[in-house]
Amino acid sequence: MFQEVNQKTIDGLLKYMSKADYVALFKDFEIETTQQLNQINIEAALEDIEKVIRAVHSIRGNAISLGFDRLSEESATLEALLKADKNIKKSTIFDTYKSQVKDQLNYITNYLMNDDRLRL
Amino acid sequence: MMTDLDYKKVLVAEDSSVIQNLLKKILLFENCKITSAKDGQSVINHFDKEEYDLVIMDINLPKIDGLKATEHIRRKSNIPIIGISGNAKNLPEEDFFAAGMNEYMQKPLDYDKLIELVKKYTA
Repeated sequence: MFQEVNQKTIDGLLKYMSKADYVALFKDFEIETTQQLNQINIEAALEDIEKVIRAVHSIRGNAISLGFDRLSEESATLEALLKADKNIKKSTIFDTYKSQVKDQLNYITNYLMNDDRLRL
Repeated sequence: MMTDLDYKKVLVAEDSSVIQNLLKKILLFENCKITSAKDGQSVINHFDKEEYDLVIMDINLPKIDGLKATEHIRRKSNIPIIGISGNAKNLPEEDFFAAGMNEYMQKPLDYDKLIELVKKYTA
């Protein structure tokens, strides 16, 4: 399993922006991801699975870009599951994923508040 | 402060606002003025209306994908195109170059390399 936060990715970003800018990006990511989670459920999958796959893929790409490797990995796992079987009948995979996303967002929030390199 | 003559006009095709904002911040270091396009149709519309110095194109765009949008642009122009990808479709690199991209980068982007490429293609 990948680490929750990839500090090397964050260091790469901090060469080009302030800590405040980075934290602002995280907040945007948090808002956008929370909105996208509303589109990631069994009803949406039954209606248009490609839309759900796109939402998960988007979270995946945003997460890896900001250094959230575990969240990106978890998104990649769901994305692969959805692509492998486009007739998803159970809601449990979405419930599990939402729980994972919430856990990761909480972890990252704590990390940013407590890490010496990132604390504002 | 950037004057009209100083900045580089960059068209960024990427459906994520987070990545758009991230790139905007990074590309400020190269005096880039960004026009954002959120899908393949939009990038084609912008490209057809205005001149740009560089295009940064995500492969996985809604409506018209990044490869098709690249092919459209290539039919009319030699503008440098840097492809970026979360590699949704696991496409081989050759597909990106065959479509007409000059460079291809995977997420997470190496931001130092991106700046180097922007410098190179807008010199």
